[in-house]
Amino acid sequence: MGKTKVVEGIEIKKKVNKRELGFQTIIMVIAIVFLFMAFIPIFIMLLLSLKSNAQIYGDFFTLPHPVMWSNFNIAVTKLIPNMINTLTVVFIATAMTAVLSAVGGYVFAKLRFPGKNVLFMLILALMMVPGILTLTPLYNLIQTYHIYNTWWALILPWISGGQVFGILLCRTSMEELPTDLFESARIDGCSELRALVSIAVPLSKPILATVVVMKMIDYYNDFIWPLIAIESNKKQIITVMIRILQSNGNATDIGSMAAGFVFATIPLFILFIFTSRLYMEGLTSGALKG
Amino acid sequence: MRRQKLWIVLCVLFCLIFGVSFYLNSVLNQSSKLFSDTGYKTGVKNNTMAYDENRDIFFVGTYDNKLIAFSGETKEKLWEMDGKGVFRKLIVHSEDNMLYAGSDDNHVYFVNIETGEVVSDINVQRRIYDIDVTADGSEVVISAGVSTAKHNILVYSSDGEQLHNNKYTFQVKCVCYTADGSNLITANNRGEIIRMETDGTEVKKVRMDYEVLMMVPYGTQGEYLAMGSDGSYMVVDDDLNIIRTGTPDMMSGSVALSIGGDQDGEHILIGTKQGTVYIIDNSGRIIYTADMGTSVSGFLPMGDEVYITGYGDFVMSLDIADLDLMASLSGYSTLIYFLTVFSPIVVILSLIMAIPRTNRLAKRFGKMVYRYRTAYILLIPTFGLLIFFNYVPIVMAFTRAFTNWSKFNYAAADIEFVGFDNFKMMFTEGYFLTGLENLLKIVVTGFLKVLTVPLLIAWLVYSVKGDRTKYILRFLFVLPIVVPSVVSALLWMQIYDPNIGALNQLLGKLGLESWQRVWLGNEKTAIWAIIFMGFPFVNALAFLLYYGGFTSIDAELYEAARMDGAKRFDIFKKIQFPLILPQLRLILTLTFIGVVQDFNGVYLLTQGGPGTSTYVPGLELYFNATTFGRYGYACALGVVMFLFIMVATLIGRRASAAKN
Repeated sequence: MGKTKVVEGIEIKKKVNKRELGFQTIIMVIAIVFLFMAFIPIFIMLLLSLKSNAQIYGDFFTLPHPVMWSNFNIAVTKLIPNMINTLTVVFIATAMTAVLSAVGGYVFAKLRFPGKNVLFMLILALMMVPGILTLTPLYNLIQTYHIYNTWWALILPWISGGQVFGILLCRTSMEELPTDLFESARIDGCSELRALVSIAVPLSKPILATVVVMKMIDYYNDFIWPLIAIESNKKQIITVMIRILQSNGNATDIGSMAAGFVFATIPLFILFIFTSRLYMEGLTSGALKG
Repeated sequence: MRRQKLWIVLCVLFCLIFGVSFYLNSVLNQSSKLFSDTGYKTGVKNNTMAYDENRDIFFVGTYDNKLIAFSGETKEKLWEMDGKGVFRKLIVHSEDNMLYAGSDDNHVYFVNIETGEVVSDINVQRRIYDIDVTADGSEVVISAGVSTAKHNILVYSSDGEQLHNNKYTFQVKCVCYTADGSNLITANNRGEIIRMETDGTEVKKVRMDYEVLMMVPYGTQGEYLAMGSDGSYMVVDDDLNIIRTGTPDMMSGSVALSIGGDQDGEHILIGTKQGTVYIIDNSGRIIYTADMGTSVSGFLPMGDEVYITGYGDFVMSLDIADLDLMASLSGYSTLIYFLTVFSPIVVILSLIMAIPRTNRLAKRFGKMVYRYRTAYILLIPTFGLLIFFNYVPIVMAFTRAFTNWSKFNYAAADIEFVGFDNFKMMFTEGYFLTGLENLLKIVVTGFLKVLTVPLLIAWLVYSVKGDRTKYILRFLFVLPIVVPSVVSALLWMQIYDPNIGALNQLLGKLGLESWQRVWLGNEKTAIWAIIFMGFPFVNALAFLLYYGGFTSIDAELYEAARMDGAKRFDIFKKIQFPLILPQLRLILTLTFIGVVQDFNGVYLLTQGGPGTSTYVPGLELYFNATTFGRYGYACALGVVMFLFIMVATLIGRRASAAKN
């Protein structure tokens, strides 16, 4: 009796294992099919970037032969000044956003002062205001401020809006830091600024990194605002420049256009390779709720 | 008491500073004053100009085949002559009472300045681009051609006898005599400026980077000003020594059309097809940009002024002295603006300090602020930015939405309150309603997109065994976010291309030629093509949020469910799905906020077309805020979209609050 029961138990386990294995295979297959489809545009981009016009018109789907590396030469020569612009502007804006977020987050998390709640509500309320509402006034205001067609027209509005999100994240994270730590530092004669720089910031590195990565991607991706705020091609950033080159008839050379697309993708690709864990964990950890 | 006096002095001082800076600021903003209408009205499209100083007669060669003379005093028409083509170039020889006019109808007309009578003409049987006449009127040189590969530089004597005929296989659009009339200076579409003898023998040559479109005499030293098709310019003297060159940093998409200078050779003006005039000083800096509305085709230096005309019925004059004042002021424009904004604040503060009672209050307030100074000082940059780039624009959006604020009613004095007119216009103009219909489609499909694929993928990745596999899958599913959204949209544009797009190619390969479409060019398919963009819709943000939701579910719940023999689907339905509802609500809210505002895809792929079939409210706002310059209306659209988003957010909040 007992023997058969054991055998039955093993059999059930085997059955379950088999079923589990089948299930795992099915979900892997589905996942891979979706992955493949999601990457189709990227495959097309890479394929086109290595082909000449004749090869594209001849047979769209075959692999490039010979491989047209010269497309990249053409694209990079055209786009490198704008790429440098983009990297400079995005870097400055991100660094400033990080500083403002850390400072603002610290002030609202750890300092006490009259009017704190009112000021915090003023910032929180901005989360409800969509960018499109302020587009028209801001376009006119940057001319009044005399920063139209300069990089400040990108950087200042970016960090002004970007810090709101950063301050909220940093405040939540810094509030969880033990207050005693700061109290004892203060008793030891540590200034608030010092406490911020040498205690609060090091302890909030992960959340700051999340802010940096997310904002960097945001700024790099921005298209409509630079299109409006920057008029000269020399100062323009890469996303808009790609569009300008594409619509100015350079679209006739599809290969080098696609090579330009690849070129524009590289910085974010590199950033993502190094920070993917931060980005993904920042979003999954639930810091971004409600 | 003494202190109080000091405050009063400060108050008065800054009142004065405010007055001066406010005045200077308004001078700077009244840029339209620089240009004034000269009063010469042809009634047709103009092209080129000339002026006889001795008789005070002004000539306009028009695009509509007319040559018209005006009295400089009364601005009335003196006479009018009809040609059969566009008048390209006019040259006045006052002593001989002669006006030489080169026209597209192959003729150079010799016209009596006073009567408008054609004394004689030369027919070169080719289209004329440029002419010049020697100072003594004995020779005429003509640039003419029949095609881009057949061009001639012809030299005639004043009685119509052909002296030289130099043939070229490329275009030599510009020609003029050197100061002594012995040689020619020509410029061609290879970018070369050549000094040659009248028989075509080259003497000297310099190069520009692009085709030379126009060349005019410049300044008082007998120099020449040439313009390349990219808008670059070069000043050369009689011996082709390069005096200066430059490439102005023009607006993207501008096409240079004409060039000219002022009498003294201090400024260079470049006119574009788009109607912009760039004014460049002798250091090569653009000191002023003006919009003429129509293509600018000709400049004429007139003493302290420069006359400007183009393919429209206008002859404007630009005052160079005013321009210099403006240019010197604009260097301080930021300072002036700063003073205008901040001096009233100082005035108010010093006024408060000057009155004893408010002084006491202010001191108490100051003490409080001083006590908590660290916090306030640390928040100054944050709120400084927010005020200028968030709060002021928000207040402006809400107030200006009820005004007629536009490109044409820009100054504060012109802006009038119009009530709800802008909002009413949304329903009468049509674009907004079409846009709403499309937006509804995009929102509904957008919800479907984020409710299906990302949820499925998140569940799949969560159910996969092995942490490493999970991580790799997660990484790969999120990886496509590195493609900038512009690139991704342009890639989809490529995919939808009717001829070499991947989609039609694939359909062709599969033998489904009948399914091929001009996806973005067809009113029926365009909006769906835009919606389908991004297939298979693995939204990284939604995916990660769902995934985060799954991982935060307590593992014990599964154990309990499994003990009860629950199937996988039951677990999903009864445990997982209800527990990720907060994420779901957040994603729906975020999607709505994103979709309502977004018009990147539409802008890049179709610009709202074909017709108005892919218009969305965001795109309409963009066009009104930029191209159309109807700022008040754009603000009103922004307010309406803000209300949509606010209502949706509140519903989302309410729903999650009710649950909790």
